[in-house]
Amino acid sequence: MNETALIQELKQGNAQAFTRLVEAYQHLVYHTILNIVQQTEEAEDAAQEVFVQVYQNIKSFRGDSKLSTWLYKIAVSKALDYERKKKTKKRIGFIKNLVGIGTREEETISDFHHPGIALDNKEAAAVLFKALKQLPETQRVAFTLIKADGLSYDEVSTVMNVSVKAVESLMHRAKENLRKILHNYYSAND
Amino acid sequence: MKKNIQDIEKILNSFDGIQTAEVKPFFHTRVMARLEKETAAENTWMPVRKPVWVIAVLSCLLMANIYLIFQQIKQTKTTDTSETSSLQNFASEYHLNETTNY
Repeated sequence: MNETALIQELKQGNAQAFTRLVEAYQHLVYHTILNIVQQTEEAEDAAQEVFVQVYQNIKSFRGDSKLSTWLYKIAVSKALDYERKKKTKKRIGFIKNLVGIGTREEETISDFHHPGIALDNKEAAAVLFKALKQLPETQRVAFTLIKADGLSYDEVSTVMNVSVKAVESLMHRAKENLRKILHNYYSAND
Repeated sequence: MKKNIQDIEKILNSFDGIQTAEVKPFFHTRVMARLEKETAAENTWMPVRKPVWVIAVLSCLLMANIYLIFQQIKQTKTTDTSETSSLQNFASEYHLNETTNY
């Protein structure tokens, strides 16, 4: 598929071009979001929003980067938005419960099992996904984009709008922090 | 301890060989439905959604309020003056201003 031609057709409002775009990138967008939000329904919802946003804002796409990079950018930003909304909801729920006006919905914290992980790695990956939740946003995004989405440091630097050196540093700190979190996890479970 | 370190490294590398997660079938149809819904909602509320329109409407409301307040103040002043003069007329008509020796 010729990317420049596709973008041109999209800018002209060609419905078939949009169908081709969705068919070509739907799994990539969904996979990226799922690795961050760790919840299938939310990931599907956010992925739909990404394509709606692409449809509405395609005219503002200047073509400085690849279409996939632009999609990664929107997908990461949408996923983080969902995460923030979830955190705010949790906080409000906590405060409501504290003052006694909450509905006392018990949240079931279950392990996330990614559908794309091989059976022998499932348990370890579930522990890693849980540990990732404790990392700062930027470290978490850098780690998942490199390790789970298979992006290069260069690509991640474009998606995150930072230098390659910054990505290297984020990745280094992410690994260090994950080691600490996992060490504590094992110490507590021993 | 050594086992823990090995386990930690195994966990850190557990994303190796991860396959891309796939969306459920008919994803495109769901995206189109959402797009239609959002476009319909946008068309309904378009004049109100654009910040320019919001500012314009709010400015008009503010101007109308200021105008009405000034009108109200002006009217109150006129009423006060006319009320005083009608009282004076009433008093002079019944000679209430005059002092008597009763």
